[in-house]
Amino acid sequence: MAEQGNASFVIFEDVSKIYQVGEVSIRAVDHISFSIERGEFVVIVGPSGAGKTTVLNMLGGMDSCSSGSILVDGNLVSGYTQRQLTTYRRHDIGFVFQFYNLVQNLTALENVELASEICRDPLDAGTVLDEVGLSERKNNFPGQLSGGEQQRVSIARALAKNPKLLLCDEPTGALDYQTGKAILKLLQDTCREKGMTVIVITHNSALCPMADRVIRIKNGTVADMQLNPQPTPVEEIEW
Amino acid sequence: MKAIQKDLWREVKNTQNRFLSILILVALAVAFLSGLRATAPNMKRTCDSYMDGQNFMDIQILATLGITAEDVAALRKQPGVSGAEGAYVIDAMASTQDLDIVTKVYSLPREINQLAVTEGRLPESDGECAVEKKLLTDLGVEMGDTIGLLTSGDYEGALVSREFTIVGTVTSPYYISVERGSSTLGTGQVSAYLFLPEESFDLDYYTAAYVTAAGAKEEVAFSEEYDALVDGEVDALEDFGQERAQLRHDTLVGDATETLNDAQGELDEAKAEAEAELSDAWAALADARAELDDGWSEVNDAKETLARETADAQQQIADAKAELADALTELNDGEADYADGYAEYLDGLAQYQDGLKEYEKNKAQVDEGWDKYYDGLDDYRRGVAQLQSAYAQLQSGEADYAGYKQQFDSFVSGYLLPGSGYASVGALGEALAAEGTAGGPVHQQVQASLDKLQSQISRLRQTVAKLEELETNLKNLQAGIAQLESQIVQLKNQLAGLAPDDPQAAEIQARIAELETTLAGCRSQADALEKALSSSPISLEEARAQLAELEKVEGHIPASAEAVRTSYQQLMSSRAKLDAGWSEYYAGQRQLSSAWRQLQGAKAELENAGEQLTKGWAELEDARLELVHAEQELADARAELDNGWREYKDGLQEAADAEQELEQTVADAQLEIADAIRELRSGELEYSDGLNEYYDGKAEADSKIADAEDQLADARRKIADIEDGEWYILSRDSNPGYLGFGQDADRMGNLASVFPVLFFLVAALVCLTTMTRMVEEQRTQIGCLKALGYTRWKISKKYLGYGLLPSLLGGVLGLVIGYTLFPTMIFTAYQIMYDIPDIELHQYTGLSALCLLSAAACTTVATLAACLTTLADSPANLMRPKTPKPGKRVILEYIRPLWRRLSFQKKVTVRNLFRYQKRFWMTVIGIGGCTALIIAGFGLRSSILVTMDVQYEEIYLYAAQLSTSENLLDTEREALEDYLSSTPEVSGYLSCRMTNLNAESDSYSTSAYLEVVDPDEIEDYVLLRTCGDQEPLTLSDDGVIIDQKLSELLDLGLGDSFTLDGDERVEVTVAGIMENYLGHFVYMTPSYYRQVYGEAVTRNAYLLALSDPSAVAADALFAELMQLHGVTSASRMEDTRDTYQSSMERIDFVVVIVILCAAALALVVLYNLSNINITERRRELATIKVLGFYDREVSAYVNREQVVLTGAGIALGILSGHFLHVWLIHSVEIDLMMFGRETDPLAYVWAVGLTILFSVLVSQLAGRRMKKVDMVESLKSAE
Repeated sequence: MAEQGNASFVIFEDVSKIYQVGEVSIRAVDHISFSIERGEFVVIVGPSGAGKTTVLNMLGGMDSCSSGSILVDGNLVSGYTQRQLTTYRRHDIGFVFQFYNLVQNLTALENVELASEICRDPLDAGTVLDEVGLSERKNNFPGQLSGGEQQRVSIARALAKNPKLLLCDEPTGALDYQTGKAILKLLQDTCREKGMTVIVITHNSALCPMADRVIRIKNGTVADMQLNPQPTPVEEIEW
Repeated sequence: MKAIQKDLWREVKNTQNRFLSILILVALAVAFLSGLRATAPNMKRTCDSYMDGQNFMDIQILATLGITAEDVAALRKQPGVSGAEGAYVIDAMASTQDLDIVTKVYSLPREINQLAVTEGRLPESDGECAVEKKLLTDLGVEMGDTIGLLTSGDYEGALVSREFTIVGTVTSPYYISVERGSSTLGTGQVSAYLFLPEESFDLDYYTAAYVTAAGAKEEVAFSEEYDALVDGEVDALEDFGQERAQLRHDTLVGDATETLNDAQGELDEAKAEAEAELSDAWAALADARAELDDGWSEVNDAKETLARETADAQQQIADAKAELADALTELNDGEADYADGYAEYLDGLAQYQDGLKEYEKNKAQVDEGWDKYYDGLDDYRRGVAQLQSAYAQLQSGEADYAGYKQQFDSFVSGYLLPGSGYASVGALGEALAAEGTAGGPVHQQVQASLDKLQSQISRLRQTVAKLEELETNLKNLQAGIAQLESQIVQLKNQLAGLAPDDPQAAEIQARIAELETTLAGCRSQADALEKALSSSPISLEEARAQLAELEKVEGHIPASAEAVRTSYQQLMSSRAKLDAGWSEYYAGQRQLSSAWRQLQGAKAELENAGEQLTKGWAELEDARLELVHAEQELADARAELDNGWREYKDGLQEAADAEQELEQTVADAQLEIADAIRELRSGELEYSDGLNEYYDGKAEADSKIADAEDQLADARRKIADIEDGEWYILSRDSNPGYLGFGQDADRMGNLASVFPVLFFLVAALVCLTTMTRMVEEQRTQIGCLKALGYTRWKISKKYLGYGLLPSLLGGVLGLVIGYTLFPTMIFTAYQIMYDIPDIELHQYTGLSALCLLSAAACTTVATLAACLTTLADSPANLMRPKTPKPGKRVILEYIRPLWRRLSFQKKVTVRNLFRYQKRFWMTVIGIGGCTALIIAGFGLRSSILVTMDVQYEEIYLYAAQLSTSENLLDTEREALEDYLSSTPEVSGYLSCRMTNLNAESDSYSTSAYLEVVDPDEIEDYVLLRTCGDQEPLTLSDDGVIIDQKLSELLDLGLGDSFTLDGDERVEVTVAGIMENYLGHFVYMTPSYYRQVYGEAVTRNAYLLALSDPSAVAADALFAELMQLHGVTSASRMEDTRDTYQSSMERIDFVVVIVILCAAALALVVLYNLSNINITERRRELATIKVLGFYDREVSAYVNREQVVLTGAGIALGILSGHFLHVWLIHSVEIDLMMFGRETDPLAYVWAVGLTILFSVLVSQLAGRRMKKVDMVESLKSAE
């Protein structure tokens, strides 16, 4: 990391994304630029339709940008081919979905293995599940788990890949308040304890205080980015 | 338009793929069902229209003796007959310069069985013909060319001309198949048919008649109604046929017999005439000959006679002269002899007179001897009488003496001798005699004994008297005692009857006591008497006996001793007198016998002397007669001598005359003989001319007569050969093309019964999964509608509509395709085999309704099944996202070691398989069906093609076949076999008999080849082995070996028997069933042949093994072989194979259809499966994409399931494919062939390969779609 000391871990530089729907071009992301340091807990916040999911898609290698460049850990992700993107997703990105997206037909443990089996340097699936507090439910099918538990499985699945970036799309969106807090705590603890870079996308600005860095997006542009030298622990946040 | 209907349309629009997949599948299923089902009836209708159009016969009549114009006219008048027509049909060899083939030659039809002219025109006059196209190619001729037609056998001379110009090509409804039937000519296989105008035929009867039945045209061919109508008509005509056939037979025989009789009569007449003429001629000749012979013999006789007579005459003259000389000598001798004889006679007379004197002297002596003899005899007789009386005296003296002596001796020895001291009577007598008259002691002693005897007698008389008295007394006493005892008993009885105190009792008792006292007295008296009797020294009986004995001799007792002595002395002197008498008697006897002997001797002497006397007399008589005779002789001799002298003188004169006469006679005779000889010579010349003439005439007449007789014999045999007329009244089924076409149509019908079902099954499963999926996807919407107050019916209408729409559209589309495409395609294939116009397409309302209803039912039922569970739920539940179907553990997980080894992806696959069972079965059945179809398709192809390979490479081991004339001469056969064995190109040959005939059992009848071969040699030419396990079979005399297919058709097992119908009908037994694919064969040994046919087999074919089986080499060989006499045809097996092979290749078409079906099935099913997988798991796929799965991995994630399902499907297909294959084979097999029953392993390879190919193809398509899955989907909430 020494050689990359002066460069940020994630750099968005003048990134735009234009969707062509019929005759109309929709500019979902308009010349966005920001950077994120390694080990930070970042919250990207903005109202619905502001373009935060598009940002996340581009960052997670699920979509490519129309212009500008995206650098992750010094690699120019925006220049990747589809296959490189897949490899990027496979090894560098952990994704936590709003609706968990667990494979119904696999048990908790197997869902984690689904991810760990394909990547280069995975963590032990069982251990990861222990860490997210699901030691007892490893062999349960998703249908037998509560929403919070499913989200924990989802997080475990993302963590097991030992990714460079953990991207979370509205991780608490489908969860109740308490569960949501517990999940956020898990994410924050992961960031702190493992030094993992965690990016959470949410429309809920109440979460901002818990982040090291808050990026506000509005109408496809970065409205504001602020650093939070003293992040508030999740337990203390109320919304 | 209501909102919900709009929703339906939009739904359709948005889910075009799904909609189309249902539509296509239904269309496919319906097309298959309607198409295959419609094919069979369409084929039949097409055939029917064609047949009706050509006015094809309903009934064909063949008659053993032909059919006359009158028969046809009568036939036309039969009820139920709408038309009848006679036709000439004959077999002929059609030939060009270098080719000839067997053809069927028909007369042009008038109304029935009309021809379709494809090119040119129909023949109009003799010398023109219309042929089928095949004939042009077979013979290599063109329109306008001329071909030769050669008839033989029964039809020799049936055609007016020999050359015919081809003026047109035609097709006949009689031949819709490639089968052309069999013939007695050439190979027995007819190659083509052709038509000639009626005037080209020179036959006085039709060989066939065609009949159309009234009302048959209105019925569709092959239908039950049609069959019933025609069968009824056939039955109705049966009696008529019998009648006509009999009539025909009688007429034929009658005509022929009449002609024959006329000819016979003429012949007889001619023969008689010729014979008469000849015999006259012969008689004349014979007369002439006889005359000549007579002449010659006369001449010879005359010559001989002359010579002989001359000689005789000369001899006679010479003889006469010699005789005369002799006679003179004789006469002189005779004179001398006469003088001698006379002197002899005088001597003899003197001797005779001497002898007579001597005889008389002797005779007197003998008479004297006889007188003496008779005196001696009288003396002898007297002596004998004296001797006899002496003997009688002596005998009576002896008897008297013996009586006295016996009386004296017994008395003396009984009473005097004992105690006299003398040992015998003699001694006593001697003693007495010695004392003499003076007496002495002996006398005294004898006197005493006499006295004592007298006293003894008187004493005995006293004793007897006394004892008799005693005994009388005793008897009286004993009688008294008995009386007393009875009295006592009486009294005692009386007493017992009384009481004891009775006064009478005492009285009685007193009486008893009294009586008892008396009794006791009596008893003691009796005892005393008895004692006296017993004490007597001699018992009464003894005394009486002694007395009786003494009394016997009492009378003879001599008075004194003196008397005794005199008696003795008298006895002694009698004895001495007797003895003297005896010795005198014996001396007399001896004297007499010596006298007798003397007498006998004298008699013999006398007799001897008598005999000599007689003899002497006879001699004397003889001598006397001789003398008389000699006297006569002497007189005769004198006369003779005188005569001789006279004769001698005459003879001298005669001889001189004869000599003169002879000379004259000889000269005359010689002149006469010379004349006769001249005459005879000229007669001989005339005669030999006549004889030559006669022989010439006879030879001519004989040969003429023999010829005529031969002809008559032929004619007679022909009459005998005229079979009993029989009419064969046959329906169209007797036409192989028609029958085969119907069977093929039925086979198509069979095919139609299974394939569509498979497609419908898959269609139903696809609909079910698709609709289920759709309903589940729209769960929230259903809930929403329910919440808005829509009834269940209204909601489900949308889905039912969604299901019905593609099924109805697809159904209609399927019907359109099915009714047109399939029948046309299939029929086009059949047109290769059948000469029949293009198919008529029909639509069948019932079938259409069935198709549409089945299609609708499939989707409706599937949709309802899918809707109902969902609709039953409450709106609230429905609006909530459906709790995903929870994952479940599957059985496999409990097998820990195995489960642990599976990667998570495999685990997902396993779980999914168990989770979506509908999909599982849909896919497995679809893929299984696909695999099975391909196996069946390729299996069918290989079964058929392998058939050819096995048939021609393994079973037929010979390379070529040679047919010879039926009546091959021995010399021809030898020449042929010599050629075959000496030609290096022929490595071996087997002679056999090969005939085409009908094999019949109760269940079926078909044509087959009878091959009679030697069992030892066949193995090098034909492989006989069983089907399946391929055990070798050996031909034996127990029965025949038939091919497997024949056994199936006729329903025969080992040991069953069936009929072979050729020239004769025979029954044979099945001894083996062999593997054979093409044609039907009945193999038998020559000895079995003899056993069943009762005659030795005539071989008419050769199987050849060639060292170079190439076409060029074989053709060269055949060209040479065909030049040998008796060889009718030669064919190379490879050529035969090619012919079949090309006709077999149409099967590829079926295979293509089957594979296309399979492909359609597999693609539809697999596409549907992947479609469902992708849409249903869009989110899941998006998620794993986000997780970083490469495209390949994502495809694999989905495809692994498909791979497993495909695998399972293939497994099912492999299991069921064989059965489908076997079923398919049975459905498409034709009678003539057996297809391989084994499924070719290559078919499995093909099936698996193609199924995998289809699967890969589909997964490629699916992969493309999967790439398009947007990862953003993963971010959306589950709807």
